[in-house]
Amino acid sequence: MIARSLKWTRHNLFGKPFDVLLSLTVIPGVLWMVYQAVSWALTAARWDIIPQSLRVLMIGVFPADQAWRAWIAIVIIAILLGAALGCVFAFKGRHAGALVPVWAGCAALAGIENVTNVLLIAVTIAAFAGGWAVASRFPPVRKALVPASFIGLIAIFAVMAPPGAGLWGGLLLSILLTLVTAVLSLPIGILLAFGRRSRFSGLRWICTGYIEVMRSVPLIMVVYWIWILIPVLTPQFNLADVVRGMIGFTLFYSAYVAEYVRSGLQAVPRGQTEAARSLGMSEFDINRSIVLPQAIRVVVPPLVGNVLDIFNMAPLVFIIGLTDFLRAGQMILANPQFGDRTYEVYSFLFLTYFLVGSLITFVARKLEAHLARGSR
Amino acid sequence: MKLIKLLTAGVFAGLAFTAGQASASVLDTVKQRGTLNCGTDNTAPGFGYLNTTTGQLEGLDVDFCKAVAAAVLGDASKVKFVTVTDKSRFDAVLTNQVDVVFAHTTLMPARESSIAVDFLPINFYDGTGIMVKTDSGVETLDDLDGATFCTTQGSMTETVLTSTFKARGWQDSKVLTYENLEKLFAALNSGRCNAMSTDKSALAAWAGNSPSPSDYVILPDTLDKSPFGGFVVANDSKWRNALRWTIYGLFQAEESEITQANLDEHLTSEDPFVQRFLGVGGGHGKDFGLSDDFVAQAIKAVGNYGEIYARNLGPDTRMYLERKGTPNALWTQGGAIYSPLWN
Repeated sequence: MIARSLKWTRHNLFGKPFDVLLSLTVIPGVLWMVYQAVSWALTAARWDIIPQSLRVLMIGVFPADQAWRAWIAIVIIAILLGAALGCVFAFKGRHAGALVPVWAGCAALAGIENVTNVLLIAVTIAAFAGGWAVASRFPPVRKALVPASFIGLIAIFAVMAPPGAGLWGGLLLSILLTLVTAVLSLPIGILLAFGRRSRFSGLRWICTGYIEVMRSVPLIMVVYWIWILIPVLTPQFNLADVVRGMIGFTLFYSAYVAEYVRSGLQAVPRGQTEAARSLGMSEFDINRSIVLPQAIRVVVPPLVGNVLDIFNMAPLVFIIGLTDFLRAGQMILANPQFGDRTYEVYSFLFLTYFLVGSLITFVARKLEAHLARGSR
Repeated sequence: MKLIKLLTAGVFAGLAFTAGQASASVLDTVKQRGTLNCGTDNTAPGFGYLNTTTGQLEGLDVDFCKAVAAAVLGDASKVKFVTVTDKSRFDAVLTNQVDVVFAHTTLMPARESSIAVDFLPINFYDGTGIMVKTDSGVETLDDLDGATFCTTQGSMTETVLTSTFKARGWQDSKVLTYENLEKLFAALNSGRCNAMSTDKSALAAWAGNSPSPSDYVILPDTLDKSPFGGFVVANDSKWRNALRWTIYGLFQAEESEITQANLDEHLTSEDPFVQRFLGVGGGHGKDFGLSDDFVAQAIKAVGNYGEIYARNLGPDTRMYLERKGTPNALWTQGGAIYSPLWN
């Protein structure tokens, strides 16, 4: 074992003179930084602020006595995410084993003494595992996933709306924004992609124009414009800030989804459509049953990457006064009592973003390998 | 090209049409709706921030929102806080998404002339302040002749400081600039600077956030002006007047020593001025479209101006900012907090 690792080290880190130089400069620097960070985290940092303000970080200023609504939303999200995962990966015993430490970690963070929260976290993780297991055992369920996610999102809106949509916040808002945008931008993006390849030049122009305009302006501008335009155009509806934010994000990311899907459509060999046409299939049937399934297969990995992109862009909604995860952290720091905990709060934000981000990346990579199986 | 012009004209005509429709006063809208949409910041120490224990917003701006809700609707809890940022606060008012904004906004001519908002009375006077370490023994600005002042790069403070030196004839004083407030604060602590200079509210926040706030003193002197005020949509004098006099009411209440605690005694007062001010047996409220006891309601909710100040920026808070000797004191004590006559 030691001999092997020595060999690995020599081969990879000290193979050539330049490697030696690089390793000698970089490795001590990195070790020193890690040492500093860990020693700060273990000795100087006062982490008590994280459990104290965890509720604000997770759900913002959503009233504490209404927190059960947020929990219902979280459980629905967990089921949907589990089921989405189950479409691709079979649920196995070792997965269930891996979820137990996740539960322990979350429970430790939330505070073991709060029994209700520990139980609710267990319910959430069980819901996630349940969705995963059902979707992987019973293939017919997978067909229902898209309508189920629409119904799930509507249910979340219905449950969360009564205390006022202006109160949504924290990590839950970031995740909801990401989910709604990801789910809604997919059908719009597919339609736009087909529109851009349409035989009707009017439709083609409109779709191309829309996609190009959206891709050439910054997201923050689209979000801000939607935010100020909707109340001016429809003063009789009082559309909540959060809904306007979601509309802005969906409009913007639909253009990107359209371009991903278009790249997939172009990857489908011409022979496929020609063969279908020679069988006498209609243009609609060809697109629906021959072209789209093959195209989607190609673009699923970049689409998952797109979800990560949406999640990482979610903090931009601060511009319209929404309190997303990042802004919730800043809001805690604005309290004079906690002003000197900047590093603790930002470390927690960093770790959470890093965890979620690497999880999505991991799933995307696995998915790519899984989908590539057929074309090998 | 013609098509684009036509489309643009169409959109603007539409905007003008919808804007023309919303001609009713915000006051009527708020009363009809039953809640006040008040725009505040939620990341401004002392002015609008979240108390994580109670889950409620606190701060000077937040208290003014509550006072307005109490005065207009008779219930301070009927306020819905809408978070606005430095970028969105004016558009939020212009698109009627909020009825009033209290978000540490500095009054400037361009803001009233080119952005269509009207400012309310100034409720806090910020400005460039000087902070020194307590153990330096410095008590007034005059003690700092020949000292090294530090501020941030590219801010107006540098100019303000040099002109102060010139006016006072200080030859040896110099200004050092730093990239950001964090480095500036470190320089004060390490002794490289004798005094740190930036906006007073920011100084208070930095001192308050340090492990021991009592190590720092913010001198009462204010070197230039940065007055904060709430604002409402322009050309709605009914709404603006109601809010202006609510705020003046809080100033006058402090002058007349009417507090949250002794309000009930004053309600039974024989003094005709107090009776009229608090709306006992008829007052000023009707003329503004409010109930006669609107000032009493506001005081009951948040107290007079002095109490609001003490709650958020007073000696018992971490954001302590001395009031005496600054424009934030009552005019009777040499400050600029002044209410017109209530007669």
